[in-house]
Amino acid sequence: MTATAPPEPALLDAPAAAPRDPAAFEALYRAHYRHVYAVTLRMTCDVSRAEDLTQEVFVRVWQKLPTFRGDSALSTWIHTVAVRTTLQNMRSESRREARVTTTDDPARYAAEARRAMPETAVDLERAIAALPSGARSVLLLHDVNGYRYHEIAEMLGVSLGTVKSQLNRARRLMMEALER
Amino acid sequence: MHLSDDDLHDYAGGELSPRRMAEAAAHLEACDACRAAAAPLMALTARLAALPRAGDTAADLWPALHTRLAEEERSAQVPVARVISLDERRTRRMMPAWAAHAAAAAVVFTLGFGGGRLSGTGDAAAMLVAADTVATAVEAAARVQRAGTEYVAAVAQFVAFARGGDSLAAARGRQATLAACYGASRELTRLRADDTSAVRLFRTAATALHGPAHAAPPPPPVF
Repeated sequence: MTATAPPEPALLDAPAAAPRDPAAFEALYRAHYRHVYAVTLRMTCDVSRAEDLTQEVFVRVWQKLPTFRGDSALSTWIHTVAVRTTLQNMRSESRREARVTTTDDPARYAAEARRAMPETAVDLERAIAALPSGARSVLLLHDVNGYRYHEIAEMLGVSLGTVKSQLNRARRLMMEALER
Repeated sequence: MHLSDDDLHDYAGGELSPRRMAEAAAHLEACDACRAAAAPLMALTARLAALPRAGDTAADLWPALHTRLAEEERSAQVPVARVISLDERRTRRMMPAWAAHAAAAAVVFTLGFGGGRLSGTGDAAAMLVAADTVATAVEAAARVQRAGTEYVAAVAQFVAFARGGDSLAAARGRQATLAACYGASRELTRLRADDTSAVRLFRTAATALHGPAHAAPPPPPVF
């Protein structure tokens, strides 16, 4: 048998380059934006940044939707895009600012969290906002969003041990804050 | 022996193996000190897990997002010319009739089933409206697209086998192609018969193969 490559279907990439309809995408946006906003708001504790990131997430969803193969539920896939986009933004932001950030005003964030999610526990939101951003990310990913240690380690590019120690520290700080 | 601090955290977060979870639960049942140490941790993780996971923005973000998507789409539509190498042109000229037919079939199925990707990205607005939910439509489109991709891969494999002059391998390749074709067709027939996007896919495929005169949709395949 010869090793000649089979002819490549010339139009294989044609659908991806075809025009798409933003009006149809709006239905998808309306169905999922509230979950995306909750992720970006809690991770950044910053309303305007969370709104920018929500838009950014849906731009990426728009770009990457042709590659979605249905291996997971669409909502799970969009959630993962939201988490990864936010983490990437936080990484580049902290590099730019060269410091580990906590939110400037946990009380202001807690008020916004209550406006966005009226049924939320404000004392928890305030304590989350007061955490250092690294510990906050790990706590939110594990205890709120249900990711496992190994998934978080992969997303953050750190070791399993780092994830566990950050999580334990975040929980300790939370418990101290809630006792006050 | 008491549970370590790490064990307590792993237990509270559900990160122990089923066997270790059962052991830790039994220990906590019997040990007052560990139960007292675990209580605030358990309460915290339970409260965090119960936090709402959806929130409303203060203003509607869609108008600004819509503008950004329109810009994205405009920049994505810049045509890219593909340079065909001399070798590739020579290969095309020398392609036997059966290989050309196989390649044409691949193109048809790429257009037809690859169209699922269009549905997923919003081109087939009619399909999105007809589906129960947006998620259902997009997931269905992804299944159709995957079936189409598998078909195209099988055709390519068949062509490679046949070129090798090994008739047994070619027969196996043909079998794989037919199986993939069956799978792809089955996915497509899940679409409603009057679904305008499905009709459009057939018409696009027929136009590509036979020209506009044969663009009327064929009857759905029967298995």
